[in-house]
Amino acid sequence: MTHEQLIDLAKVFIAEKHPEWQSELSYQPIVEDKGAHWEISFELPELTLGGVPVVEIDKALKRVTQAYHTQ
Amino acid sequence: MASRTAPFSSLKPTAQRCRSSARIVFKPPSTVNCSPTKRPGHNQSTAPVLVSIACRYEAERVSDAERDLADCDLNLETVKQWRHRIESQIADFHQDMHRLADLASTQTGSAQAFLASKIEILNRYAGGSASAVASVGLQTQSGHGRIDTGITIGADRLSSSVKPDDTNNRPELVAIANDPNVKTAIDSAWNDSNPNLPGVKRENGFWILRDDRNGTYSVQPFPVNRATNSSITPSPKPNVPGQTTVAFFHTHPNTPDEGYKQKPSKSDIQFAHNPIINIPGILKAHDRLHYFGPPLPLVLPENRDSIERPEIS
Repeated sequence: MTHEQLIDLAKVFIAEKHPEWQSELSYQPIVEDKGAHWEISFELPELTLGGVPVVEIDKALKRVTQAYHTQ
Repeated sequence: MASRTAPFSSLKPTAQRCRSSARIVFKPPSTVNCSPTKRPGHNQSTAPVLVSIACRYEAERVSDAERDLADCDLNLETVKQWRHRIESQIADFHQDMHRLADLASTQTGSAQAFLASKIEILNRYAGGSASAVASVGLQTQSGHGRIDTGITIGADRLSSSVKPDDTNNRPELVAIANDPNVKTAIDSAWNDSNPNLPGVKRENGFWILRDDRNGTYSVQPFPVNRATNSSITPSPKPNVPGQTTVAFFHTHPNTPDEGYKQKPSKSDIQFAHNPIINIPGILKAHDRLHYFGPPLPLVLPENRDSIERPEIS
């Protein structure tokens, strides 16, 4: 999957399962390779304390296996 | 020495002659009788010879005794000097002990924080170079082991993951969090975050400042109008003359049941290590207080001489 596909999948998942988290989806997305899965998160503005939604997508299954919010 | 010298009049006549001729100090009692014994039948011509031998022997013994006495006086002077030095050092230690007791009784929190910061600096020194700690490629040493935070700040985004700092083993931050002023502010900020009641939650926080003169802590709240339930944008780091901004605090009011992690986020850790900020952070979540970020800035109290042990030569 491309980074764009991973980001789109994460955003769709958040919109469906955690609509209250959508406000952070406008931030710059970050895709990280974690070995068995990809991790999609978002970057807060500099010098900001806080968290963003984090979505884990399994590489083999190609679906979201975990989603949580940092703070 | 004069008092130890016997009066001249108490000396025997022969000894008086010895002393007059040899100009020495005679010290009785003597085991040698300088007086020639006059016995009937003895040759009178041998008497002057015997007197001469006895006098010479007596003079040698007196000379030996005087040398011993001089040695003793020298040793006594050395002992007196050592006693004076030791008494002086004991007095210094007593004075130092009183100063430490005063410091501990009046500024326990500050003293603990100061000593803890010293310990951390020493640990850091033992575990790696200071430049390595201060740079972006962070390594922190905090008690149980080394933690590589692995932060790499790229031009536009993070290029690798961030492992949170050790959020438990920070005694210097625990001491600050337990300071009465700071503790009250933490409780107030936590309650203002609305962590347990229905309704909107909002992160809350403040800067923690330490008075350079007396070591007391105060806080400067973050603006609440720049906070959401999961983020807050602090005001610029305070730069108050006579005070040092030593740490910052904020709340994590959202629960695990709501899908929120309790530990510091990447942004929290990045904020603490940002060169503009570069001070440790404390956060209160539903599980506990978390501690993260770089070591405390080195703050030497104005009366630091009073807590440094004087060097003993």
